[in-house]
Amino acid sequence: MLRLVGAVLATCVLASAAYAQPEPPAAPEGQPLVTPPKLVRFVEADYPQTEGQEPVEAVVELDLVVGKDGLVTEARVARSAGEAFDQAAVAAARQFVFEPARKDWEPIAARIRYRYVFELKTPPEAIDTGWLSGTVLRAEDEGPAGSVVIEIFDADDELVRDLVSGPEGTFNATDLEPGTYQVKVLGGEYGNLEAEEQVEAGQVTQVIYRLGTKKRAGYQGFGATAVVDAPPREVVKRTIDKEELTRIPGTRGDALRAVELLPGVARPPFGIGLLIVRGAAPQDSESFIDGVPVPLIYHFGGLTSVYNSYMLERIDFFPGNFSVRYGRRTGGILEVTTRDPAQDRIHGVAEISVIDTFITLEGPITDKISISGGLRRSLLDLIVPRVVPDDIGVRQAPVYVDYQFKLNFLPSERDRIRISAYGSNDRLELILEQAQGDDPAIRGSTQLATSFYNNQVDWTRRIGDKVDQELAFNVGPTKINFGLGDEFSLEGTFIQTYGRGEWRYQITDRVRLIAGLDVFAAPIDLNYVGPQPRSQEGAGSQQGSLAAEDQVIADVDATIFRPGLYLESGLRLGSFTELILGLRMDYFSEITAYSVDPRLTTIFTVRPDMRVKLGAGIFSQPPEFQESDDSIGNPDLAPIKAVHLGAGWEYDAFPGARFGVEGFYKYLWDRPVQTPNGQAPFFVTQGVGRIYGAEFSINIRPATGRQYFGYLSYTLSRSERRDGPGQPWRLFDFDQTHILTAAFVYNFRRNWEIGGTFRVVSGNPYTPVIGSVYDALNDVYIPIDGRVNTLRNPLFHQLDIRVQKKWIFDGWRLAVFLDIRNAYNQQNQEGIIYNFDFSQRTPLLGLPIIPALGVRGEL
Amino acid sequence: MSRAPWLVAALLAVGCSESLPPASAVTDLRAVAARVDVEGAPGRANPLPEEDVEVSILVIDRGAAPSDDPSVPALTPPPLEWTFVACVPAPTLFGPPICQTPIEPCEGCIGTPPTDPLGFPVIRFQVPSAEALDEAQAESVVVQGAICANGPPSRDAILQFILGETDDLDACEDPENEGRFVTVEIPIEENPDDPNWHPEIANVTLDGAPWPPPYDQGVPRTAPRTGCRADLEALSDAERSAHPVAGSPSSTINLFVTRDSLQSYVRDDEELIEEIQVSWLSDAGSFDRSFSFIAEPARSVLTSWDPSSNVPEEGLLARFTFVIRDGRGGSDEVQRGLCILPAAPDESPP
Repeated sequence: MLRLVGAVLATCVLASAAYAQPEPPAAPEGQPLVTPPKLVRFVEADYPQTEGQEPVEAVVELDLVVGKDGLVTEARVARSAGEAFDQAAVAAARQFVFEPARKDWEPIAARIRYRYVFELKTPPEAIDTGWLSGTVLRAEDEGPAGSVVIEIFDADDELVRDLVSGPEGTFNATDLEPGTYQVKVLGGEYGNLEAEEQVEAGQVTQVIYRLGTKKRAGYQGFGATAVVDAPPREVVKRTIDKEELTRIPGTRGDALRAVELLPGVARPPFGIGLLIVRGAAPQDSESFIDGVPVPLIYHFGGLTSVYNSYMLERIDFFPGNFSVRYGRRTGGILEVTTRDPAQDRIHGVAEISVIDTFITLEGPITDKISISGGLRRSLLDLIVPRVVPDDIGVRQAPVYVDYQFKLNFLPSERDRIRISAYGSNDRLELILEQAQGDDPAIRGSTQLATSFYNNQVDWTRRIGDKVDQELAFNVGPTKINFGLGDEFSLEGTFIQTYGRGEWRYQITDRVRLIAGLDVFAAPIDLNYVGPQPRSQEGAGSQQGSLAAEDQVIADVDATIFRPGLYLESGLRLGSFTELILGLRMDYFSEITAYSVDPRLTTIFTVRPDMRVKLGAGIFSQPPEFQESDDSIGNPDLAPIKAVHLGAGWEYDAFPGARFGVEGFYKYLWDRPVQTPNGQAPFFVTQGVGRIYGAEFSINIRPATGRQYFGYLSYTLSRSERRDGPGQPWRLFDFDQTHILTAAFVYNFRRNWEIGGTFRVVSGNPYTPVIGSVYDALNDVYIPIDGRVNTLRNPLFHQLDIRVQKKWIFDGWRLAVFLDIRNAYNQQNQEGIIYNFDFSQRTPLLGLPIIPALGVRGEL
Repeated sequence: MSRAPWLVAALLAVGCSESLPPASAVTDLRAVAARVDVEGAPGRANPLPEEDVEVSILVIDRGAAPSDDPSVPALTPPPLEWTFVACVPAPTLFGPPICQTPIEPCEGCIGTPPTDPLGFPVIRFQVPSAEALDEAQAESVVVQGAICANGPPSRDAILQFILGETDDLDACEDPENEGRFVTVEIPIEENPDDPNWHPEIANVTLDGAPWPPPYDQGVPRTAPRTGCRADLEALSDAERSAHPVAGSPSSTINLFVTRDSLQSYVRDDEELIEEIQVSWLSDAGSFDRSFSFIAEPARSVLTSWDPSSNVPEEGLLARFTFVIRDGRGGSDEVQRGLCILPAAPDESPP
């Protein structure tokens, strides 16, 4: 007789970017955020009957998708041992029960590789009892019901088992006599449920109970299967999960606004959506959507991001020391991963608030093709004309539109093809017939219009067992039109063309290799009329009238070509250390220059719950186009360089709480700085910078379920620049010594959710105006700046609150929410306004209390 | 350029902040215009190399209350002192002009002239040669300096603001004195065959009628800020009623320029027509805007002005200064006055 034994030999495998992990079942080294599924209920397969043949040992490799409830939702053969063995293995595997994979303690669905071994064994004794195994979920959100009482009665109505489900809602009743049982689930506020179940000898009967609705036989989940992350290649990677993306107060449910709350991210003035990472200028950081850089990530004023949060899978944020996969930036990286369309049925979300309205729809077309789409439009143009005085002459209030479309195609088990199109359009226009205020230059049409339309195809393929391939191509126009009175005009179009190819090769259990190529090309057609562009940062008060400045004209018709190559190896040294070595090479056609950037990350797993990470690397970035264009800039500039040094410590103190401390130091050189008086060559690479600081963070959430979550983070840092040899060090424009953020969200009974975010941040530095000179030719006053960034705005503090009530109906849900930004109407100072001759000043105040009431329906 | 969204957001957010006095409100010592006259070419605004120029700087101030000292028969405005330098500027694309080469001699660069203790700065010098200007890559010359009331300008103030290495910049030696830094850029004439001429104010009307006496040709500098009611006694009822009452509705002021004020000219091979910038200034009441523009084919522009709501029984003198500029160095100015009368006791302002 044969006895069948299975063993998990490989754990988590990424669908798109996988490293096979060598040793079960412990969490792989260097993978601090994710724990793989753990098999808790094994079911033996029937050995196939093979007439006339001797029994043999066989191995079937299966790809299993384990749902958040620990049940197997999908089982496919990855390596066959013959049809009979395959069918037997699949049938058995479908009855497995796992402790689900977790990411930051949150259960997630995961795809794993499972090796089922048919082994010759001594015949076992006959099994004459059966098991009843199951999970109790809340019908409203598929979350675990937690500890509920399960009573099992036999055919004589006698109580044979009295169980309490675990935190995940799971329960097991072992050694039940074969027969019919009546199961009663006592769910408290969710009500009770009764069901009749059949138990067979030697078999496990699996059930899922959803309190509040009828029992459903199979797994139904909203959204696509989340895949387990690849091990991070960075010292610090911060992730916001799908479950929390839309629930953070002060963001109006916009996931990307939540990035501002992460450690190391400074607060931009007015919250306008600039990404200021660890003392780096906004243009030093870059945002990606599905691996492709996007020119804008926020709509006008930072109110809303350009990609609907309900179509996102997660957001990864790398504040420094990022992988060689990312180049051409010296600050930080924001990587937004979109969600694959739902494959089970049609889903949708529609929302309307005082700010904007949107709708999303998604669903399957065939069993291999699914699509999703979304559309959003602002409603501000209906409101602003009613609150802005008529004499200002608002012709077009801020209007933004964005759209998303995605098609997911799974032509085979090894391939995934995604076709997506997304874009954004922002417009604002003021018509000022006469000069307003005290600047004769501010009249005429003041307009700001930005748009981009990205079209993208990416193909992920598994080549053999050890190589993954990822190809992506993107093309689309970006347009900007900015006019400020008669004195300033910027009109441009560039066609962003971006391609990436990446190959990942698991050479041995301890060595992996990643090679990649990415190319950024953009024909630029741009016309600029205005004052000579100054340094991007540290340019002083910039308070003067445009009327007093000489106009320059730039007519740019050029093509930027920036190819990049990168190579990265991951090496495990012993059982505690992982070493990641990377090298990136870039070429910048606009300045005819190369860069070679080596990077190193070391991860020490001191204990299973504690990791120490060290990183060092060189990072390069091309100058901005206005700095390198030969009509208004200097094409002989060198790439901006930065060295990042970082050290991080993570400690999972107890289930539900993670502590982290990261220290960083950055040194910048070859920064372009303006020449004295703005004369040719306009910019020279004489600027340097230094940034140092520490970030402390605590993440809390229950070990199971989603009843609450919270963040507490504090960043202490200093960012300084020096604009040339012999110049004094000065503060960076957005240097914020202290950044304290606390966010907490709690789910109350009856589907009430209340959360708050509180921030205390040092004010930004500013340059005082110490006097002025009357310009008799233009009848304006030219400000005289004092020392750059020697004064600072007062401490900023703000409380944002979000309250949501949800109703669950049959097949759909309705939510009403109130998101209050600046709940106690703190008048924070964002800058200084001067009078016409700079002899008087008053604080420029930030945004007042902004309540946003909205209604959302989910299908 | 990436600051563009920030600038627009700040522009919109200004409405959330406290308002400040507008440029049209004259509350202290102000230089408001500089007229350049070329010797031997009346009406021409821009000099040629080696021509002699005269730069007259108009300084105004809010009128002062009459003295309580009976021995002082009339208001004495504070005497001005100034220090200027005429120079060829260094090439610069932003910030205030920076002197590179002083032009000497410079007559009147240091004042007050002993012959007129209440005089304004009038500076005369000769424009350097074309070769000298070319060598300095200069398309203009500059007069730069400081004007102070009741005392001399600070000796090193100009140097301080050029270096930007101070946190406290005072134009005057005595920080208590009012003072102003002033720079006058004088473009060199590019086209001697069709030079730039000063624009000219043809007329100014009040509520569609000729400006009423007694200040229809200006206001004496020594006129006190209050007590103008007495000046109206000799006027007819119609003339007297043209002067506003405190808190009364807005008056419209219409400024006309001569037909030739809007000159055509060529720049970068493009034929353009001048636009006239009008600056409205007053030391009492308020304008609805500080600047207006007259563009082809118009030859006039109007604005509205609200009289002060609280005035003394003896009347409040409002001084008006209207300055026009063609944007290329040409300018003209006129001054007018109105006596704001208190509302009748039984009359409540609308």
